[in-house]
Amino acid sequence: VPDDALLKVVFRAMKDEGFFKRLEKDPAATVREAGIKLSEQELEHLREAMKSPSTVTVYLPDFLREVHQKHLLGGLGDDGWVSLAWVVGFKPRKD
Amino acid sequence: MPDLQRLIETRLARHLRRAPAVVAAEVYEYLARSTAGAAAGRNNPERFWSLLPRWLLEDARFAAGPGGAARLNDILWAQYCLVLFVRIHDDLFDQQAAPGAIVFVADQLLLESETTLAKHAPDHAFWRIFRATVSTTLAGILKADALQRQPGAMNAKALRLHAEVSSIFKVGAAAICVGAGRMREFRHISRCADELAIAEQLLDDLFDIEEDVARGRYTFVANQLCTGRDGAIDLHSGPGHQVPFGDGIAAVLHRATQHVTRARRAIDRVGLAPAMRYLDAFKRRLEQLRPAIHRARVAHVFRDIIATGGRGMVPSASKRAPSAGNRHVAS
Repeated sequence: VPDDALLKVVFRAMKDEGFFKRLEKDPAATVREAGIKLSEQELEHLREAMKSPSTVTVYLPDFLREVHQKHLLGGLGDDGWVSLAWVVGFKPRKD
Repeated sequence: MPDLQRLIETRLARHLRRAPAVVAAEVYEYLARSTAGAAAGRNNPERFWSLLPRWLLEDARFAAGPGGAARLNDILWAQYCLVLFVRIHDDLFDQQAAPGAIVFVADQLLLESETTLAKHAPDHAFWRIFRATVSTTLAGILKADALQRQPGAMNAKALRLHAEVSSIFKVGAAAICVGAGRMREFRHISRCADELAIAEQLLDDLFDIEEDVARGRYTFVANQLCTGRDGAIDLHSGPGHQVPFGDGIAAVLHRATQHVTRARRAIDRVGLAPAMRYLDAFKRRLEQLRPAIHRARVAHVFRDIIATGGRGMVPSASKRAPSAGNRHVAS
């Protein structure tokens, strides 16, 4: 768990979908309830990032590759590549 | 177990020996650049359609009748011929393949499939299933194509069409079940194949969304992600093809998982252990995908905070420039 308070929020949001959804509704209260202390400026950064996470758009093939390389692979170990390719019959290109 | 890829390559070469060299070259060129190559097992040799006949013939309840390994090889080859017959026609219909002699090769593959299966499945009950599955697949392709040309038309109810399109994949299992007098089991296997076909198509459509929408094909996934609850987005208006980034992907994965669960339930009634393990593994991997996508989403939303290690000023959303490296864009 990182020392930085904002990164703590990010870390928690990655692990906990419910926390992320609550952040979208009320960042200040959600962070307070989680016992994470943020300065006013940090809270403003958080609000800015969470302004409209659902309208952020991504280039899907790149996003799915990112899921694979940074998140799934990390979570599953060496066979992460194989796992996703096996499920979808698709192997993201290696840059 | 036979090596599917080698089996298909050998028998395809033998089959094409009868064709003029220029025609055979056209077929090999088509296979090299089309997705039909994947069906031959080049990229993913162990798919459900090729595994199911092996699993059935390894089970004493279904292994009735002579033939052994030769019978399995014939069934796999016949199944592949049928898949390639449909795939070629579908690619010609979709204009993903150039018209030419290949259309006649496709028709010959249909006959090759029938001739091969006739050695092992003389029963009228089987041929009724054979004709029904081919007809269902061909009609399903036309219906799905018509719906997918209209934004929003391919809805949850219409997902059944994906099962219809994949109907031909059941022919190998049908030949074995009819031969063993196991029609009750075939009904469950058929249901399992239908549910799995829908789940696999949802995943394919997720990964092919850019190409599909560029071709004006609004699949169920495209409708969910582009015109669903995440807000209407014209995919042609953005730089590249952008998709909204809300809960849509998770919803698609959830739906795919539901269909895999139903497939598992259906095969449970047959008690076919390898198929049960396959579906369990499929579901487990789908379930691992969802949190991974969530983590990537969070990383994307907080990318500025992560980039500065939690410190430093975060540029306002309106001032964020698209990242040239990964083409992510904040709207």
